[in-house]
Amino acid sequence: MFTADNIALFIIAVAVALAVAVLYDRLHARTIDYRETHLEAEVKDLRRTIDDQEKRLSNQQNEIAVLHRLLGEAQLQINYLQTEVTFYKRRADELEARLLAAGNQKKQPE
Amino acid sequence: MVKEQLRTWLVWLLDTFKPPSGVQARRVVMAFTLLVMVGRFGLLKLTSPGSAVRINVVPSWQYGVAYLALFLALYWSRSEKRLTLAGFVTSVFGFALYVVQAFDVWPVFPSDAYYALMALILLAEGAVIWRGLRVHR
Repeated sequence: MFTADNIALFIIAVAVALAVAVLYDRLHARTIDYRETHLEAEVKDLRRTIDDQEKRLSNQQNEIAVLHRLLGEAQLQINYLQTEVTFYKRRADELEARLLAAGNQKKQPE
Repeated sequence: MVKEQLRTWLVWLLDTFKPPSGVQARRVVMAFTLLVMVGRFGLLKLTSPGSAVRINVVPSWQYGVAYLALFLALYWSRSEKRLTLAGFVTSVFGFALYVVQAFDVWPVFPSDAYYALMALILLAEGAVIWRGLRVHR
């Protein structure tokens, strides 16, 4: 490995690698600018989207709270109406029973 | 029109055949270097003595030492250290080592091609890392 040819080739290869690196960097300078600008714009868009989503989420949470309150009120109404229904059913049963009793008394012979 | 088509074709050609670079490509070179190092340190003579005599164009142990150094450098610069000056220097010297090896074994075409491919990957790595260093300076 350590011949004069090989050492010369090694040095040439190092020089070539450095030259290619510099050349590649110069050829792509504009692309990097474009890419970074593009990425920055994308990040800005994403941040804006996140802000919008957070606002929407906050609004939806408020809406959910309102709906919960309405649901509670509706439940109270339902309970009240169920109580009323039970009361009137019992009252109707009582009246029916009294009516039947009165009818029976009339039919009985003196 | 023709100029645009030519440009598109050239971009496709470059995208399709450009040498790979990046952490995974570097790992491939690292693994290949390990195998070559082990072979050069005597495994080849033990496992396939017939082939070893035929392809042993250059003294093995010197390459063994060089590949050991390259393997350690590649291992050390495999992830966080990759985009540093150390990673760049490793790529450049690795490229030079593989070029010398490819030149030494050129009569055996497949071996020559393997070494040349590794050299190309390290060349691309050097270029990409240098660009990264310049951008994030």
